[in-house]
Amino acid sequence: MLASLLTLLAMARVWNRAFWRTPQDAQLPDPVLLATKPDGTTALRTSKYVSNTASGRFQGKGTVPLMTLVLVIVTVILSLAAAGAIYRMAVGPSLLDRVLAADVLLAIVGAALATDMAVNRHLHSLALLVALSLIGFIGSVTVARFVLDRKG
Amino acid sequence: MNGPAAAVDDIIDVLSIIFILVGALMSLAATIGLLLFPDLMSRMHAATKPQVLGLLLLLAAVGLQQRDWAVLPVLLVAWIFQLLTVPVSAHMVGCAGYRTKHLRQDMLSVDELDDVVAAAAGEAVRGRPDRTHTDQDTYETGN
Repeated sequence: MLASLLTLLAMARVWNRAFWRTPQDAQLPDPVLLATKPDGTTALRTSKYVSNTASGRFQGKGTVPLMTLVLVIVTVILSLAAAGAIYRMAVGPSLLDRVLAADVLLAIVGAALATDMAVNRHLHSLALLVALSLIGFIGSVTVARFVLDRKG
Repeated sequence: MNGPAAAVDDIIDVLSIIFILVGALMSLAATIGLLLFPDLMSRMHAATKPQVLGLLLLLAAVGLQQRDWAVLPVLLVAWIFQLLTVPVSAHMVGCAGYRTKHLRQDMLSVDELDDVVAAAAGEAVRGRPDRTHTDQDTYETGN
């Protein structure tokens, strides 16, 4: 339950960054896509393989900032993965299948947090990620320890 | 944006993008295995293995984007604990699955635990004839 709520939160955050900014915001310099240089100026964080002229959002043809593109692709992949894990959690024939699916969902949350940190270049969720990998297994171990000898 | 520094920056960016994409695909692979495989043991196999590699790649991408050695120990701690805890939970789930017979015998090529359980059952029956032998005893000795 908690894991699915966390997934929804992380996904909503990523989608919010990627798509749901208002047009007014899009004209403003985007803190996600701008890197502060040592001399205080900011520059668009794009690779040379992609045009440098896009200001944050899709603007014209073929001028998508590379990191935004990666963010969208990863968001789609992780959303599909989370949907599959939730499906397995809902239909899973046994309790242990559901526990396994919850573990996978937790790992997907961790992946979303790590992607957010890598793309947006911050470390705000690093402590959460460490805690997740430290205590994430306790739930499944507890359930597996006390699972009863019956189907279902 | 010219010169060797910019080129190195671009290479690091491309490398971390590749890491991020492959790491996300590992999560997707785990889910696909979770959905397609027929029984608990094979689902467990798919669910536990790709995630660790995926997390390693994503943490490497975080480290590459930060370009700061001070981050490295924390990332290592996160990954090592993942490496330590994932097998523990998989082992517990596997034990519980074997005990509650959530596995398909026809899909196992070798059931190494079967001999151990049979031997332990024989020993338990011979050694303590006064005690009623239950399934629970057998499995706990077998494990």
